[in-house]
Amino acid sequence: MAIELEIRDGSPHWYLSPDIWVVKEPEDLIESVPVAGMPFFVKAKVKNHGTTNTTNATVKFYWANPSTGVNRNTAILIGQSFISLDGAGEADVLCLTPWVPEYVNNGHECLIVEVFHSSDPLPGTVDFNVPTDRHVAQKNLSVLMAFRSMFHMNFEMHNGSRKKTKFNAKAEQVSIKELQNISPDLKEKLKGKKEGKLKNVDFTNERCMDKTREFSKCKNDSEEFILNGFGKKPLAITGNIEGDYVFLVVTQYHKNVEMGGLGIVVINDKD
Amino acid sequence: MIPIKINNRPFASDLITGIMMPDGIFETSLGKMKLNAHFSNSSTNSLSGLSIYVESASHPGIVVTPVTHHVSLLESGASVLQNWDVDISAASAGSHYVSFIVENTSGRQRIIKKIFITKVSFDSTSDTFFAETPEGKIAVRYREVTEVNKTRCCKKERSKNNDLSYDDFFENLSYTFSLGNKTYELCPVFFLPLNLETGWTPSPPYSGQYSDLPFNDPWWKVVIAIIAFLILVAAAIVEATSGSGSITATAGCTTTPSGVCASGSGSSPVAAGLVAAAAVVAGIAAYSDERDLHRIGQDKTFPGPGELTISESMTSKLKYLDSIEFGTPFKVIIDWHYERLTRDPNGVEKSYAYSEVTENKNVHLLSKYEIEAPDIVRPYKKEYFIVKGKFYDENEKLFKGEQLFVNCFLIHNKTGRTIDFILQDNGSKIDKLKNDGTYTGSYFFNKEDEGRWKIYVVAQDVNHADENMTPEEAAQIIGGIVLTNQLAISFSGGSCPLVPDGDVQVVV
Repeated sequence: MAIELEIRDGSPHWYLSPDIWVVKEPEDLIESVPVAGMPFFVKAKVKNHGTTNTTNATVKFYWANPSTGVNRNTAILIGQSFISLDGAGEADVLCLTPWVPEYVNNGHECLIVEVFHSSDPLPGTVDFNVPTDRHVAQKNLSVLMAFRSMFHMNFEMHNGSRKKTKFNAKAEQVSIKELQNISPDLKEKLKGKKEGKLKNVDFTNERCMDKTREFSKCKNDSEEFILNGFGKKPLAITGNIEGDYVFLVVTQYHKNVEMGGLGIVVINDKD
Repeated sequence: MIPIKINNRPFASDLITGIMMPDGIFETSLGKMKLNAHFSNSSTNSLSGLSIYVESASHPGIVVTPVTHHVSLLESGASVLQNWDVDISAASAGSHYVSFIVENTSGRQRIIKKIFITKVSFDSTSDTFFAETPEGKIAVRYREVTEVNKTRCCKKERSKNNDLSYDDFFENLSYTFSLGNKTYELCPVFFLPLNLETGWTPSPPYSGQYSDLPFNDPWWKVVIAIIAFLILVAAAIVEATSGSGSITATAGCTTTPSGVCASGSGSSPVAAGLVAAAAVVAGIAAYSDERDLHRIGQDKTFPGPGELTISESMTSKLKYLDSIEFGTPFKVIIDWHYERLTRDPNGVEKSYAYSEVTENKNVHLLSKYEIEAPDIVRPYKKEYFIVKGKFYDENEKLFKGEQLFVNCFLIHNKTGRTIDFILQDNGSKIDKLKNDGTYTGSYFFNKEDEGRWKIYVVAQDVNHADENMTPEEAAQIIGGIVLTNQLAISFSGGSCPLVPDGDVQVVV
């Protein structure tokens, strides 16, 4: 087996890679949660599963707005790095070009990192094909503070195909354990808190659920929507939680096939 | 973690001339350059099997051609110089960072170092060069220079060499550079500034007596030296793309309006590089390492309370008392006038001025140097061509290890083809002892290299400023100045040939 480069996907949620993380300073070993307007640096862990040494493999780092279904045309290149690895070797790689999260994606990480080498090239497609391509991994995570147990988040859903396609989306609570790698910042935020329950969630632009809205009508499934080739659609979810925090995933489907997703940690801001 | 350090700021060298840029600063208009760094073993044990590569850069416009260098053995205290091709044409001016990875079977080390990048432009309507820095904009206008020799000029028809990718800056500069009503065609010939105006527009305007330094490190004169270097490297590029390849290094002499004349040049890129370096050393010497004249102007003028300095300017008339000879303490008299323009909160502008005549001298000195190389090399006997150099400072003390950047240039007598390689004092491979002051390099000729080659060994000092120094302290240490004197610019007329350090016959 020659060169076989990989950046690990998340499991069970491939869009939550534990091997992509953000640091405040290039030399930092401890992961941070990004804050809008401040420069951060992205790191990734690359492994060579092959038996042959690889020299000067290219690693490209991208970011995107909170979204699902991004591809190489819609993601924004942060910068690129190089890495040399022995057979079966692994190492972390730093992108020294800073990433400054914008206000639109405050606290959100939609980061995609890919690694390739002339002897182990990328498939020549616009799509990242994260779950099927070992060269590429994605970290698509948001940390939200709930106000009076209520939360709201805007994001985008993309059609990575050139053809008009029908999609739907679903939001559901999963265990925080499914987030394989919890950053120290997030650990600190969750310290002493107990995992709660997602009470209601709906795909709506209304920022707040009040008495005029009947919770019983909330649906964690979106209506089906059609996106033109390479098109995108703004979506939003609003919900409320019970307890200290919940972890939910929003998944984009096409004919019941998972096309993308993002993870959201909602923390009840009782202070 | 591997005990490897990069003690000196990584520096830029030009691809065509092979010469280190003034103070090692990168310049976007040169496009492709070399990024050089010395890697030092800071432990008490030897390190083996090292791989060294550039991991990443802090600006996407710094595009590195990836190469992993392998160092089989690096003794304790030894330094190895490595370099990479970089294209910085799309980078912004300012301080940037580069991360290097050094690894072997015992571990891995990431080293992040700062580099400086300037962006020089030329406005042909005002004959003014501008250099952008994050702290402000520097303007330079030459009012009088030692005149270009009109008997030697560039060929009108230029062939394009696709291997050389320089931006339009040079193409425009080659044809439009003019002083007053005189237009100079830039050839690989020499000029020295005699009368120039410099301006500094700080960004933003500042209160108090002192502005930030460009890049918070180099003095203004270094940036001005970069402009001088570029003008002459432009000439080198013209020569590299259209020149004869001859290394006849006589330029004659033309008297300038101020009564001095300069001679000395060459038509090979190496000669042109040295000529550019001579303009740099002359300028650096004139404006003094210790305290830049611009800073002295700020020392001597005191803005009033509430006033902001919006611009500063300086006119300088230079008189060269001695021949400009690398490594010697040649003297320059500079008659200069500094002016500070301020604006108060009511919008009232005031100016403050200071004038002085100063005599300065070159402080980048070499008392002597010795080159050792064989007269004949027989590649068919698998003989390597090995060159050794020793360089003594003004106190006759040997320069050692990472204190110097030493290049050997070989120029074929008939074809003008140039080969260059680096000499190092690191005790690895052909260099017998680390840090013993003997810099060694080698080249293996092949069948096509038959004939006689002239040898030029060019040593430049390296900026060794400590990262913990204040900007004011760090600015007093300038590197990239040529110390070896293959070229002397005299003011006595006649010609000044480029003097080789020896020659070698390649027998195939």
